[in-house]
Amino acid sequence: MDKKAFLADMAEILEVTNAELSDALELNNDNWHSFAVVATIAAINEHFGITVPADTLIKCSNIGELINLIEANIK
Amino acid sequence: MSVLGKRIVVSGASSGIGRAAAQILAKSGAKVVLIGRDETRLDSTLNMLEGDGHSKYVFDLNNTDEIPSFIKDISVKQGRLSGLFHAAGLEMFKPIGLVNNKSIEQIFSVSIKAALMLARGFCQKGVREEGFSTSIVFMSSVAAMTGQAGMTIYSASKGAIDGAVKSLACELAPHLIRVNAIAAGAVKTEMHDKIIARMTAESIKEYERKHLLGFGRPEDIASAAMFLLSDASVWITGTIMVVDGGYMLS
Ligand SMILES: NC(=O)c1ccc[n+]([C@@H]2O[C@H](COP(=O)([O-])OP(=O)(O)OC[C@H]3O[C@@H](n4cnc5c(N)ncnc54)[C@H](OP(=O)(O)O)[C@@H]3O)[C@@H](O)[C@H]2O)c1
Repeated sequence: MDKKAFLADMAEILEVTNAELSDALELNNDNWHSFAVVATIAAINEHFGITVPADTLIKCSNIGELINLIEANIK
Repeated sequence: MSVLGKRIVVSGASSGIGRAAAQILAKSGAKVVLIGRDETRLDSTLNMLEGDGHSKYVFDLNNTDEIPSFIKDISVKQGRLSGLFHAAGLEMFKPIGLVNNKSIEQIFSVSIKAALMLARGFCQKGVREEGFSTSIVFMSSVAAMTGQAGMTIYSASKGAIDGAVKSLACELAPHLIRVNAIAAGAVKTEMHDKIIARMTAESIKEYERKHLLGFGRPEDIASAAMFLLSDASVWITGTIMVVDGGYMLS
C-alpha cells in the first residue's frame, strides 16, 4: 500500500500543499465536489487496487475518515 | 455484409467489444485471429466461436517494436489476412495535475502506438490479401470529439487514432487497404464497469440519459466493426463512424 504517493495525489486533487494535508483537513462543498471524488476513487484504485463506491466516499467529512474508509476496505 | 472466408485479426479479443466482434465475425464465416494478454479469457473467447480455422495469440501490445514481426508470424502460420480490428485499449481518469509520463505512456502505448504498429504489420508484403479490398478498423471514442473532465489522456489518445485514420487512409488507398475507426459511446463492458464504479448512482443515471438509446451492448459496436471489415463497405475509407446511441446529440 503506497500511502505516501496516495497522499501526494490527494494534496493535488484537493489543491493543498503536502504539509496542509492532515487527518483533520475538512472535506466540504468547496473541495469535495464530484470531480474531486471521482479523481480520489481513481487514485485509491491506482495506489491500493480497490474500488471504494462514490456514494460512500462522498460522505467522508475529513482526510482521517477517508483513510479509515480505505483501510477498512483493504482488510 | 460478407466476411465469409476472410481471416481477420482482432485485438482485445479477451473481453468486451473485441470478444463480441470475434463472435459475430466467426458466426458470419470469418476465420478469426484473437489477440489478448489473458490466456484464460482468450481461451473462453475461442471456445465461444462458431466455425473453424480460428486461432489465438497471447501478446502484450506494449511490446510496440515487436508488433510488425508478430503480425508477420501470424500470417505465415495462419495464412494471409483480410482485416484487422484493433479493439484493445485501457481507460484512465486523471486530473491534469496527476498526469505524468507513465500515465501518458500507459494509455498511448496500447491505443495509438499499437494501432500504428499493427497497421505497419498488416501492410507488410505477403501479410495481407493483395489485389482486392482489405480493411483496418481502430476503436476510437466519442471522448475524442466531446470533452470530459479527467479524461484528457484517454481523449488525446483517441484523437490521435482519428487523425491517424485520415492520413493512413490516404496512404494506403493505392494498396486497396481501407482504414476507418468507430467512435463509440458508453458500451456495457468491463471498461464501462470500471468507469461507472467511480460514479454516484445519480450520475450514472444522468450519464445513461445522455445516451438517447441507453448504454450500448458490445454487439452494437461489433456489428458496426463487421460492416467496416466486410465488402459491404468497400467504398468507405478515412471515416470515423459514430456509434453512440445518440450521445453526441444530447
Ligand atoms: N466500453 C466503452 O464504453 C467504450 C467506449 C468507447 C470506446 N471504447 C474502446 O473500445 C475498445 C474496447 O473496449 P472494451 O470496453 O471492450 O474494454 P475491455 O472490456 O476492458 O477490454 C479491453 C481489452 O483490451 C485488451 N488489452 C488491454 N491492454 C492490452 C495490452 N497491453 N496488450 C494486449 N491487449 C490489451 C484486454 O486484454 P487482456 O485483458 O487480455 O489484457 C481486453 O481484451 C477500447 O479501445 C476502448 O477504448 C470503449
